[in-house]
Amino acid sequence: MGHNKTFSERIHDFLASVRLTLFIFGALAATSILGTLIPQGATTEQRLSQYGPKLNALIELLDLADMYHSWWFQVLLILLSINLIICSLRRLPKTLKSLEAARRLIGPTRVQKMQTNTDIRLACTPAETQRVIAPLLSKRFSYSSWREENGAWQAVAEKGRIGRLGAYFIHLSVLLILVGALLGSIFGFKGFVNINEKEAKSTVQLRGEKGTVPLGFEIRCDKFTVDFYDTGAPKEFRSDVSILEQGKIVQQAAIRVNDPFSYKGMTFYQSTYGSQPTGIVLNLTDLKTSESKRLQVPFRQAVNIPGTKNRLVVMDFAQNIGTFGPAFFVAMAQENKEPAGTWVVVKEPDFHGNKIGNTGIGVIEYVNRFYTGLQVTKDPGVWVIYIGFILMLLSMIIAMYISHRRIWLVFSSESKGTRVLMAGNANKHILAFEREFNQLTQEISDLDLSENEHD
Amino acid sequence: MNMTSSLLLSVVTFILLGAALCYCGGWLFRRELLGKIATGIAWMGLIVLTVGLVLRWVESYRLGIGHAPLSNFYESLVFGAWSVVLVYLIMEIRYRSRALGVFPLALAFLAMAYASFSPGMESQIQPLIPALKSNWLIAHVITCFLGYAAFAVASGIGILYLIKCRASASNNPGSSVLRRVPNIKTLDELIYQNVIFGFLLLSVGIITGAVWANSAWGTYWSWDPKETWSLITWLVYALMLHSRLVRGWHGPRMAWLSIIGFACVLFTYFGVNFLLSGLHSYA
Ligand code: HEM
Repeated sequence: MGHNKTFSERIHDFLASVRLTLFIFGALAATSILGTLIPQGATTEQRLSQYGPKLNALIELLDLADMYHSWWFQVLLILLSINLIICSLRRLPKTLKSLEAARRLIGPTRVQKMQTNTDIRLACTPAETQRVIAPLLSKRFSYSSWREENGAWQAVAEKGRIGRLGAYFIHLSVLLILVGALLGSIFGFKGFVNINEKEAKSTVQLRGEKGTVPLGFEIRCDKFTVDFYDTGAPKEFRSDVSILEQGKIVQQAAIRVNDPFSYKGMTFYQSTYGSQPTGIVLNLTDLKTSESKRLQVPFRQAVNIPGTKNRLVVMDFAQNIGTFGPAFFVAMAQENKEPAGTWVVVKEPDFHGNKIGNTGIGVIEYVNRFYTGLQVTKDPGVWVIYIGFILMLLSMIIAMYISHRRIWLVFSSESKGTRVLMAGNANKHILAFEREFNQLTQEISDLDLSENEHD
Repeated sequence: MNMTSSLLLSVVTFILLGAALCYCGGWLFRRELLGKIATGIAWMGLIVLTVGLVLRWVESYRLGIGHAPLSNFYESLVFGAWSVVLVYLIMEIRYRSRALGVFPLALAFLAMAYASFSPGMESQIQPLIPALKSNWLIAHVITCFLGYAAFAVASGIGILYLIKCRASASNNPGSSVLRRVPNIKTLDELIYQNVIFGFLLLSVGIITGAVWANSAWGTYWSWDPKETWSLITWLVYALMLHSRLVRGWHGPRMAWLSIIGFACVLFTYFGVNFLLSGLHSYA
């Protein structure tokens, strides 16, 4: 049979085979192990120093430093999906057909051939027997049907059909989860935004230096608070934010860790916080002429010093440098000179280091403001994934714990009463089914006794 | 003051050791009575563990940092021991066999001995960092550990299975000791039952973990080493279920897979903490 299959049939068989599934499971597990050994997201320099140029070339070729997003890992996931779909489509008709056939009556010879069977004799007519056994069956089974032919009765009863379909729903849920992840990666983004207290932002920075995304509205941090335990570890932090559309407040919310806030499909998570100086005003003095001017500068943004071609940037801030108190690191690029920088101590204007070249620098004022670090995500696939999660759990319970159980009965009339042949099977939990089968046998045999007392 | 529970929990270590030894004795010397005593001691161990955990919970509220005792390495070892004993005792009731108690009880003993007596084990109740304050986290830890416990029990049966197979193949004298162990077919069934229960709970555990991560920082999956290793474990068991259901593998292969699967569990739990770095550094 195998040799006269066409090539495409063979491909189809391969794609539907559980052997392929086992291979993919093994491959996903093995490559995932690799991904936990090679640091993901390390920079080229880190990799070069750790692995050397040759190994690093291999790592780059196979995308091993961002393995879970590499083309071949995606190929494995796609192959798994194809495998799952083809396998399910192939099996489903057979399963449905066998569920249909499950309600068919079978004759005495086949009943006796089944693995779990029993032979009971009762001292009453088949019709009477049918009358007492019927309620027993319908108590235990959700479906039962009877047929009489020339005084001989046959019955079939079953329950737990859905157990046969559980695996299909599990597989559907796996597909839903994969589709949800795909939707998220195509239509969603992950970014972050740091907002100073009392300020508003309308764009977010994408993760991995991939540019910025406009929000389409503004988010303002009205207040940031952080509580500490006695040990000094943070206990809770929260941001009170307002959403502004065309300058008007449309919604206000508190964002805490584990308690995000969503607006227009974007969700804001409390991620980090810090403090940062704002409203910095510097005093620049030309040490030759003693001429001074005030200059307001933003933190970490280069500005031109008016009237010159020099540029200046406040690069860093320290709460306490040495024992001198707060200080700013200021760097300056002057015409025809190497850029230079220095720590400017706030509280001691005459500190000898408060100058670059011929420019004396002092800090007139600044405010240390909290900023809140929010993670911003848009992921339209999350709901698909959550539905997949729920479906997966429900259908696992069904597939694993609901077994499809069937019972067949054949009565024949004998001189002293009725002979009851009974057989049954279950697609899983055979031991439990055999227990139930024996109980039923016992119940039927016990019926005989009570009938005898009647007589 | 916060020591009542820790003291109680270190006492449990010896109760569990006693239970493990009695199970072992009942098995080697084929004494029904010893087995019954073992079961009694194991139940006592479970009760004292439960009391210890509840007490620790109460103590954490007294310290003003109330949280479920599931948040650091020490607490997770205690909870792991509790889960293994619980899952084992339920199986013992359902299948009425005492010959399988050695491995789970010995494992619970080792976990408690490590938790109670390892130098440098931080057994103080610590305040929770904000990200860990979530009911999803509690569900995540409980389901993962019950799943791990079922896998532990399964691998113990897997080991017995292999010993029994080897003994009956070579017909060696040790096999008389094995007569009290259920037959090969029952062992196979028990491995399978524990694995599907564990698989279900591990799935719930991974899912609740994903939901928690999504509510805490907006990504349900970030491929951190612990997450990845739990997925690897999940894949190994998925492989095991499919090979059994569809390709009809039985017996020794299942036993081996149950052992490999549990090795993955152990690596997810210990190895990742000690060898790899990531988000889950606390437990
Ligand atoms: C991550 C992906 C998958 C998961 C989580 C999964 C899960 C499961 C589970 C838990 C069962 C056992 C149900 C039971 O106990 O009755 C099962 C059965 C099965 N799976 Fe999968 N599966 C996956 C992928 C696949 C793939 C790709 C195939 C394709 C060939 C496949 C084919 C089957 C078959 C044929 C059964 C037996 C169905 C039955 O007995 O009626 N599975 N699957």
